[in-house]
Amino acid sequence: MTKIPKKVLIADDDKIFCKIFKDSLHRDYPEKYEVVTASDGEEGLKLAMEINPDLIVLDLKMPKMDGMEVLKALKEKGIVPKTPVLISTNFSDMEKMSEGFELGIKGYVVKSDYSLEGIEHRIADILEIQDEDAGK
Amino acid sequence: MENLLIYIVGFLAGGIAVAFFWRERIFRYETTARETELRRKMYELAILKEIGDRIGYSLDVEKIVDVITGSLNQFITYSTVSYILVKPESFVFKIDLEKPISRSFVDDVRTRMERSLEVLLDKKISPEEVEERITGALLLEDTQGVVDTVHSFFNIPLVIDEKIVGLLTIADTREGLYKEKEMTILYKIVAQASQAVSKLEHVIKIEEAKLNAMVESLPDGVVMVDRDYRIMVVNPSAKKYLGLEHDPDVDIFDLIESLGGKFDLRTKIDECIVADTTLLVTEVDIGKNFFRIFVSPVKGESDVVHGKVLGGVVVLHDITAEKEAEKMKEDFTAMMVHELRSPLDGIKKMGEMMHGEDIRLDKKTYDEYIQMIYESSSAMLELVNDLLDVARIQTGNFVLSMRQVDLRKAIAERLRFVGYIAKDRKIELESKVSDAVPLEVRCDYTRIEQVFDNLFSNAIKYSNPGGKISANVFMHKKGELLSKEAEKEGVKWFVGEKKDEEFKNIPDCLIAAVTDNGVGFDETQAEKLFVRPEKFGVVRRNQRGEKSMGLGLIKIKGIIEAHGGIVGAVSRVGEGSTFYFTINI
Repeated sequence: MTKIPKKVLIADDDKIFCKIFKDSLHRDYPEKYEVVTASDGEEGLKLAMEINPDLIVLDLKMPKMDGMEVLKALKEKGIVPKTPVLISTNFSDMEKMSEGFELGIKGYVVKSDYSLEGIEHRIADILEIQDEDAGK
Repeated sequence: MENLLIYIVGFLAGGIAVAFFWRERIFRYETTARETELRRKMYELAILKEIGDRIGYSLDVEKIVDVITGSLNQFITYSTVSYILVKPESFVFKIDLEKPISRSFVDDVRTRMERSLEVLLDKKISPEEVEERITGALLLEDTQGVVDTVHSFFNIPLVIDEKIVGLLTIADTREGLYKEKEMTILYKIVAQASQAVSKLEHVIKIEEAKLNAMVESLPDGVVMVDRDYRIMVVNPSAKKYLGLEHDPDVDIFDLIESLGGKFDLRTKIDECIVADTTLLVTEVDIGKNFFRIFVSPVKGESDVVHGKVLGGVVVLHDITAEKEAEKMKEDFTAMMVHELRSPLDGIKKMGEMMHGEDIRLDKKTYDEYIQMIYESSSAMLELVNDLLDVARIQTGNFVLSMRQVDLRKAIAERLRFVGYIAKDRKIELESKVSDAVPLEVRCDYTRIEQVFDNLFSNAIKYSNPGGKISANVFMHKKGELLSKEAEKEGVKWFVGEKKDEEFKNIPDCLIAAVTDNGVGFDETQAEKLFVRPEKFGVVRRNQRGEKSMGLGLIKIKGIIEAHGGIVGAVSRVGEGSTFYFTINI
């Protein structure tokens, strides 16, 4: 059976991370994901509204608009909490983390604490819960 | 490799932490010293206020008059010596009996003195106001049959600072005793005593004025109240902090109101008096500022007021700037960790990817990964080197190795070094060194190379394709107009006449400038560019979103200042900028 691929939007100014995480998802889960990347907050917000992703991987420190601003805008537009957001950053900032959860994110990973596989598992978990909730 | 990098990062963070710790320690030491000093001054002020306001100089007068009366019998004979002193709300009449004397004699002396003082003060004295003290020989009651009469009597007013504070009197039962000789002696003694007390008064007044001036000009807010919460001192800083600048007559209720419930003034003063210790409230926000507040009891320690609590003193120490600095420092550290962690993590994750067979088979992707690893590690190495250099500059652990350097050659080499990137981005590079510049200049070759590298790479970073970057080196003479000197050499830059005044006083030197026609920056922010980024806590980005921790310019400033030169930057937004530095010749 062929499933419709899940659309994942990665908004991160770290081009290397975008590339390797995209490569990694395509390699480990061929045809399961369709990955779109944005290299700054503004582009991320724009794409989030245009392509209606199944999940957003959001970096915090980005040019033009930082992750928190994007998150607030997404919430205002009603995209969050409908669309799950996973914050993936290299800031381990408790304040930002709790602020994020208050705004309705589904997870917060400090990139360097996770392997690519680890982040992939988090994404899979979040999407699974999302599907279960939708099925109810 | 990762272990090594972690080690370097750890070492670096340690170094920076040590520098911060040291600054923090110095700061704490200064704070403690200032508090101690302040507390001492407040105590002195309280004592002087107490003496001045309540006890007045009668204390000293009484002592001095006692000394006079105690030794007067060596010069003059008398039956009694007495004085009457003016106290704030009463009078003291003290009489010393040289020989046994009858009650009526004492009463007569007292009455005569009271009448004289009434005339001098132009004020009625009622007997209830006068406290009587009798010392010396036996007082004989009139019922014992002896009635002594005053036959000789001499009054001398006690004047201090042109103010009558009392009366000194000698009296005798014998007649015609006090002639010119006795009077002269007495006048002299009293005049001397009066002078001494006047001087003392004067000293106290000067000291009080000094202390008041000091408290007035303190940057810390100082409020002093007595036991009844009457305000004894509220200095201008305190008024400013509490928004009471325009209130000439501040009372405790004004203070309580302006504190707006943030700090319970009365309770804290009571608490500190009961606990007999200084209370510290670490952080209170009043208006827009943050304060550390000290509350101390003010106690007397002199003979007169020993151990007596006179009131409380509240010191408001503004810590807004400290708090901001702390926040910036935290932000900077977080940023630094982030900027080091990201490329390191990228390298690690690329390693993870490259474990897979498939990548190794895909030559194109494999090459891409190798290139990314190379770029990430280069960027990180550069950042680590910059951080190390800045740390070294900041801790003063920065030694120059000076030698004769051919600047023309050095600049040409650096231009070649950045030439590839510039060509890649279609940016033109040019340089012109004036003929007046010596063939060899004394400086640290490697460091000056770093300065040029940083200036060139910054200029490239903030230039648009098709842009042009020029390096100019020429000489400056003290007293000359910089703009004219530059014009003569054909230098096209953004400095213009802006620095003419400043350079008039700068001794003969060499000026090197790098000018681009890129995006430029807000010139009012020029000074901030050379300050540690944690001072204003931002990662700068250029028009392409390329990040910069802003360490390069700090490094440049450190290097140039170590050479005894100065750095500066001038710009017009959208047109370009010039960064320049000087080297002394």
